Amino acid sequence: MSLTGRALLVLLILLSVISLVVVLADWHRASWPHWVKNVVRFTLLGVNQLTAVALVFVLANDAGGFYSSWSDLLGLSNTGVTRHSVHRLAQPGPTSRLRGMTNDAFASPGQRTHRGQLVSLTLDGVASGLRVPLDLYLPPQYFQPAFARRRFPVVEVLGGNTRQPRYRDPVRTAHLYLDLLRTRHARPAVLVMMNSSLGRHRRQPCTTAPGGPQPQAFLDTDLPLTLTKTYRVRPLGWGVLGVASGGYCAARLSLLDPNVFYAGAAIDGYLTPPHTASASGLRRTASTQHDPVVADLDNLLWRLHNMPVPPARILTLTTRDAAPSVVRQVSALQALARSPLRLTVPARRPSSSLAGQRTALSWLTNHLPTPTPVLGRPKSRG
Amino acid sequence: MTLTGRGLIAALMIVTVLLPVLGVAIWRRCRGGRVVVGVQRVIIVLMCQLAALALVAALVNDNNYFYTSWGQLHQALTQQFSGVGQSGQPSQQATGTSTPKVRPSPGVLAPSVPTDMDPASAGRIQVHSVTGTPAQWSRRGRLESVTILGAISGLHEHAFVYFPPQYFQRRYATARFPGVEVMTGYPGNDIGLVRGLRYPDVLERLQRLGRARPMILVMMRPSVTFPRDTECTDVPGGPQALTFFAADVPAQIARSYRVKPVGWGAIGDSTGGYCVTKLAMTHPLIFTASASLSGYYFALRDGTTGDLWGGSPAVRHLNDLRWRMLHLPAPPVSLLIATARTEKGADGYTEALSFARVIRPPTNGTLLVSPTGGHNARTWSGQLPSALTWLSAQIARAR
Repeated sequence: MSLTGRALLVLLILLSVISLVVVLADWHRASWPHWVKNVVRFTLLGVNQLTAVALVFVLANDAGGFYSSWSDLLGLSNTGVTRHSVHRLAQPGPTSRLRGMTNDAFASPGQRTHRGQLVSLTLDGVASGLRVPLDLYLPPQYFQPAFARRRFPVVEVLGGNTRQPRYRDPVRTAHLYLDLLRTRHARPAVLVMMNSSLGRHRRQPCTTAPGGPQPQAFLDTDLPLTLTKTYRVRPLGWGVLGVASGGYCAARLSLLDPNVFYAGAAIDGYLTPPHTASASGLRRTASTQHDPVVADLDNLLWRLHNMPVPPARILTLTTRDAAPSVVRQVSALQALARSPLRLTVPARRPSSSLAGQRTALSWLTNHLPTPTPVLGRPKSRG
Repeated sequence: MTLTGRGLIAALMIVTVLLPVLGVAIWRRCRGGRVVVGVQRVIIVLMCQLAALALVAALVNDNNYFYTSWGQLHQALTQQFSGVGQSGQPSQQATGTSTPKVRPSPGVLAPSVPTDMDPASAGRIQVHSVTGTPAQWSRRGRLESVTILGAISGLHEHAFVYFPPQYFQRRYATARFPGVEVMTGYPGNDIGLVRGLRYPDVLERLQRLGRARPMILVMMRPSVTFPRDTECTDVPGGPQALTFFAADVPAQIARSYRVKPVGWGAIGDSTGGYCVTKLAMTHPLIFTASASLSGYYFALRDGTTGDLWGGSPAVRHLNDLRWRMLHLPAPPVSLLIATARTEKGADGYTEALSFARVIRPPTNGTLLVSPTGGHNARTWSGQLPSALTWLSAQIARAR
């Protein structure tokens, strides 16, 4: 009789009923001494206890599926000896691929220790399912002997929302940053420049995408996982700087992932993404636009109002060109910000996006951890 | 008298034997018509049965550490969960953001590596006690009883942290070790991972045999806002349980000890199996591999969870691991699905197989099937050495 079958259950129900009837009937012979009758009654009460325990156990076991058989229950089957069958499911697939070449027009290899190096790359991210062109700037310190065994922090730079797949002017940004380094207004970091559309012409790249490619995963998973394997960079404690919709990304990444993005700077970035029909390219297996919960979760102001405040560091800059709605949202952010969130909103507004980048890069790199030594034995990637 | 331990069991044994004795003593004292006497005697029988059931329940609980205190049991029996809605007023109880009164403990250990993170960060680890003496640690390892306070989620939970002997050996004085989160099912307590499934002992034996690398185990239960079963979910407007386990715990441990901040593993049974698989699938940067023993792969809702998704189908999908594997890019992590061929139920063999079938590259999946067994600790104990060996190999491979 199987431990989990119906036969056992029916049997136990019958036994419970029968033993109850028997004990209540209190059958005995008049010739029995008292103590015999009492012993019989005591035994019958004990039998009732046993049937109750057995019945409840079998009911619970059937509901929860704890023990599949008598041998499983009694420990007779030899599970101590590991004779499990192990199956490999699907071959390990492609990892993210990084391809590219150095931009020797910016700096020849001999000039790297003074000017740094600019590299044009394309990353096929597996966690996001996106292929994104990148421009990587390695600062001069990266090539200097004093930093030969140090891992650098990374700053993701998200260009403003244009229709171009690539970051608009990496050379200009690299020059700007090099200038800041030379005048000691910024600290050394690796810059990863890309367009906030992330190669797919999306207008709202960092909102929740419940289906299909995951743009946010490109920024918070593919880039850290891949760059730490190829370059001497830290796996966490990054910075992120963005303009317009890139600014929303920067604010969102630093609020939701403050361990990965230690500081974020948003230039003219909105905090409440407009969920309009122009967010094309989204394969809808569940519609975000009409899901009010997801809309709330994408709304950074709602999150600050209704959920625990994270220990993030954010800088918001609004230029003269910022839309009035953005200015309003930044004021709302200031009202909502409280410890442990550290929000910096400079009193003086930058005159242009470029000036904003200067301020932001300086602020960000001064708030990130300094290049840390490669710990442990050389082959470890701690 | 504690809920676990010999005291309660001995007392219940006495009651279980005593009640039938008393029942016999008053059997013939029942007065009244036949029906009234019958009813009285039925009550006697029921009382005896209840005592026996209570004894068995106490034995099972003692063995499995479902509830380790009267307070827990009381909470579990009296709480009702309708879920947290979209209102702008999150209940303090639901979010669990009330800061615990963290007293400075005389046993607080300074981190052995100076951290470069902001010391004013909101999270911390409170050490309650450690096992052994410093002379023993380098031979036998060390077990710590701690409370982890999450910096982002604001939630806190007790954990047992196991350090292998190598952590204290001079040769490894500057090395950072890989971390592994270990989870129980629901209900469950972390002590069950130490005394019942004996994770530290199994790992220590595997390390000595060279089948596993030295790893730090952080042993917890998934119900961070007990008695509610939050299923390691970031509840909209409610407790951010996923953030606690995926972000807060690894970061806090890496800040306080010589543990790597990324490249973690995770292993758990039942609800813990669901949790660890979700950790790896949603946070592939932090978690490189997870091992699920008799876990499930759908988004669960029952009387102990309430509504974990704010009523949103999209949020529910994002917590449904099978849906994620089918509709989102497959994450670059390694998943071990362990089950028993004879295991029935919603988290049994068919469920495990149905999820295993949809795993696709770049996710690296492995299915471990025990020929016999079920949803119980004995089966998991049998699978544990293989699962930990596998986990150690995956973590090493990803470095």
